[in-house]
Amino acid sequence: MTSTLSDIFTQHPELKHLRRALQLCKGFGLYFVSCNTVPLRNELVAALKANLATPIIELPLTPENDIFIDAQMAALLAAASADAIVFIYDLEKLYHLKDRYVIQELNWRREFYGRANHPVVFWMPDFLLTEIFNEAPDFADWRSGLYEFTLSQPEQLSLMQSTWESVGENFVGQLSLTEKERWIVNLENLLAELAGQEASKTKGDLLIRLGMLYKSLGKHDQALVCYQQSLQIQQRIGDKQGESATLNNISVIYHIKGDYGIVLFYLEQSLQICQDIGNKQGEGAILNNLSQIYHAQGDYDTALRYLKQSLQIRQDIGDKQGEGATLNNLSQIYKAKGDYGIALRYLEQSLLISQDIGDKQGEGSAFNNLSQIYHAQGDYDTALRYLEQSLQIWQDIGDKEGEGATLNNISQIYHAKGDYDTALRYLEQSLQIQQNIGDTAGECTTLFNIGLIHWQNDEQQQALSTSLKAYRMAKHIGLAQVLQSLDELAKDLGHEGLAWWETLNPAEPAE
Amino acid sequence: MDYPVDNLDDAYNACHPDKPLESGDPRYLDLKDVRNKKSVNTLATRIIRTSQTEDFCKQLVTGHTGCGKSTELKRLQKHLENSSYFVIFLDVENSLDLHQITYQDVLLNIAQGVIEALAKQAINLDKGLLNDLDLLLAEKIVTHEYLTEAKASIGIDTQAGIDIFGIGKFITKIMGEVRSGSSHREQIRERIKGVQQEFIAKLNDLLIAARVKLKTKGHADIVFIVDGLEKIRESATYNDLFIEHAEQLNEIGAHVLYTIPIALAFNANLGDFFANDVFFMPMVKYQTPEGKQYLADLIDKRMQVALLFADPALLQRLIAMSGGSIRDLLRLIRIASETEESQIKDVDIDRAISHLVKEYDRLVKEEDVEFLKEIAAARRVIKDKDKRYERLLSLRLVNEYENGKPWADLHPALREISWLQAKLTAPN
Repeated sequence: MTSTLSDIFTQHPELKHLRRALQLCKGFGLYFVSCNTVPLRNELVAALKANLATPIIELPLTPENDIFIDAQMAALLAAASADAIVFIYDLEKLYHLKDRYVIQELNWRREFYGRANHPVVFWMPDFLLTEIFNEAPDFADWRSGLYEFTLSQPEQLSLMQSTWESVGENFVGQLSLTEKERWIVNLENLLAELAGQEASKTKGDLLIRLGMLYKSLGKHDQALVCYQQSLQIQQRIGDKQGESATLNNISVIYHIKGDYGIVLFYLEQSLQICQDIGNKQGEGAILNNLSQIYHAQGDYDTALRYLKQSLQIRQDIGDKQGEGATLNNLSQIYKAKGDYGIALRYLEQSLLISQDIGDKQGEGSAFNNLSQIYHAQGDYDTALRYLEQSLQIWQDIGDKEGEGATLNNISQIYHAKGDYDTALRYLEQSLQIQQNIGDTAGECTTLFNIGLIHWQNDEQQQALSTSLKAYRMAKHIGLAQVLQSLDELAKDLGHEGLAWWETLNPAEPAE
Repeated sequence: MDYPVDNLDDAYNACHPDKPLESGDPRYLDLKDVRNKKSVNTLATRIIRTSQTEDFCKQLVTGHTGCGKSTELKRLQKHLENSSYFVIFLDVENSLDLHQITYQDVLLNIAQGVIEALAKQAINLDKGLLNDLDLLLAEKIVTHEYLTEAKASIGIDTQAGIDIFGIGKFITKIMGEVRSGSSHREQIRERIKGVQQEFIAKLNDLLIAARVKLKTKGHADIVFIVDGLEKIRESATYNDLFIEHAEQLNEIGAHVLYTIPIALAFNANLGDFFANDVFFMPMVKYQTPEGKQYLADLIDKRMQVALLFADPALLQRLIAMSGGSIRDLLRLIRIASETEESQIKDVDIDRAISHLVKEYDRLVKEEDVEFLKEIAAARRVIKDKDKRYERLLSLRLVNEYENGKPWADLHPALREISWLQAKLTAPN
């Protein structure tokens, strides 16, 4: 894209009008520009800069300086000349981080912009504009104008090609939080550009990747929407490989939600397709995932059988990332059986692989699980060290599910040391995250732990209600680990075991 | 700037979709004749009459966004001030979190509003009274941990003998917590709830004292205009505020005018909760010759239409597309003025209209179609049990007009959306 300036004004007639509006506007005026791609935006902005006499102040928003947008703008304007025009970019990055709140904030703080006494231009992808019109109508209603710019068909295609080539398999685990957000924006934009076109393998693949990105940020509902859409496309065009991947990905979401029946339903379909079309890599992944259901339900032997099959396949085909994950899962079975030596060996192998291939998610997981072995052996300091390393990784890559789990584990160290207040603080942080992302299994575990602290502090009322909540949840999703702990807890309290919780919970339906 | 302006550069800046007119602005035009005779003067009269009794006037005001509500409220303020009332204009958008606003927040905002407004006029309130409120806030509402924090920040600014600033800061700090959604917020609200009667009584003591002081300065009474509440989006939030806690809002010992979301005015029998009828400001009836003339006059006060439009009939095309919304009309003119020429021509009108149509297209959803069709046929707002009308009214997809009695129609831009029009005209 090397068009000259006069070209770009011919190519995009609206640009002339936008320039005119910015020349005319004295004081405040709110302008929206719909532009789906950064290269096009850069071109348009360059043309405006060259053709406007007034200075342009640019404010790219980033999740890092995650404060009110108006505060950032005020700081920039403090040093600006009186006739400066403000261009605000990348609102979509905040939107992906904070969801609707960032839009509502615009609606309720619009007065600030009105007082700013400068023209303010928001550049954003088209989908976000539609969101703003619907979710922040009062803000949108202040607009002086909305200018739409789109790429020509050949430009769209070449952009998609280059984007597509840089996206490899299994890329999500290697990305930092910021990179994930950038990718979400890129993929959303590409999908918006493709909106008018018919179903294609490319579109299905884009949707899977977008879903994986959402899932990795704990946005399970958004992920599910992407997966459902991609499944539809794949079934329509007969993309078997894609279909099996999507079925598997859907099962992962339900796994987190604790709906193991649905998980099995999807996994079995996915496994069948993989075996039919001879997709070894997929088969290895699904066997691994199947094992996790049996693990959660306490059937360690079945879990172990699936894991060993999975490991074999993954080693055969050289699927390193998969091998690391399966080794990690194997360790958990041995740990559950109390065989710490073997567990440790598997974990160390897993960690090595993750670090080798730059799989951040795998690394964080290995650190977290290593800590649990040391915790079980009473070496709290080593355990805490690993947990802190793990937490750092989760925060770097924005993995909320991991963060919730590790926070819970950190609390357990303090619990073991008798520092209940600190433990409770970590548990509450963990609970918050798990509730936000709908991690039911995690939430259930954390609730149990919170209950335990209340019992220890002799806060009967809170203890009882929290433990009951954990019981209902564990019973509902069939979470063996928590049910077993609750059984022991009831006995410690001098009752007959798990049945005691049921007696406390006669009429109330499970959640 | 001299209005009406004589060139397009100025015309662009004479038409703001985002700024209400200050009272006394030469661009102002009274539209009551095309709003079914409705005028804020009625409200002024109502407040003044009530203030001659022992009662306090609580008035709810609503209307479509962009219909000129804020401009009229500013006129009301001026009108009351001219009748020697002390008007405190609170824009909650600036001070509260509309996402989760509660009646406690409104009470605090009123307390802060009166303290600050009096401080600004250098009117000193009774020290004992202020201490009383301070004490209540300090002991009952603010936690200990938080108290020390607040005290520390007051310490820096406190100057001998100016208690009012201390209190102002204290309440400002609380308002900051309430505004920012901090973890203290829930705590503060819970605590206010716990001492609700006492808090309202103290607030009313404060208002009595303020009124006494103001009367010595020649003011007849205090009136609060609480603007911005119409922007609350979630029905759970506005129902909780205006219905569940109408009693607390009514207990405030001052005349208060609240703006409310248009959806609330339609879905609730507010008469059960507030003594006065909701004041509804209808859209200008742009369909009638009279309405068209008024809107053309409104623009003519801002710019010389005969000079700046290649043909004055062009302005009528914009008026026909405005739906009677002043804001849409002003925006259409802005867009049409984005030309290098010295006059607005056909092509500019075409472009402005196509912009507005595309923008309304963003708001219409597939599932709205059937209901829009029903409303278009019935020519009134249908109050269905799923409350689908709430969204349509608040986004101006459906506008309500009054011509003796209320009636409704789709925004004219919707008729220009081709996919929608095809569906609207298709037989069932």
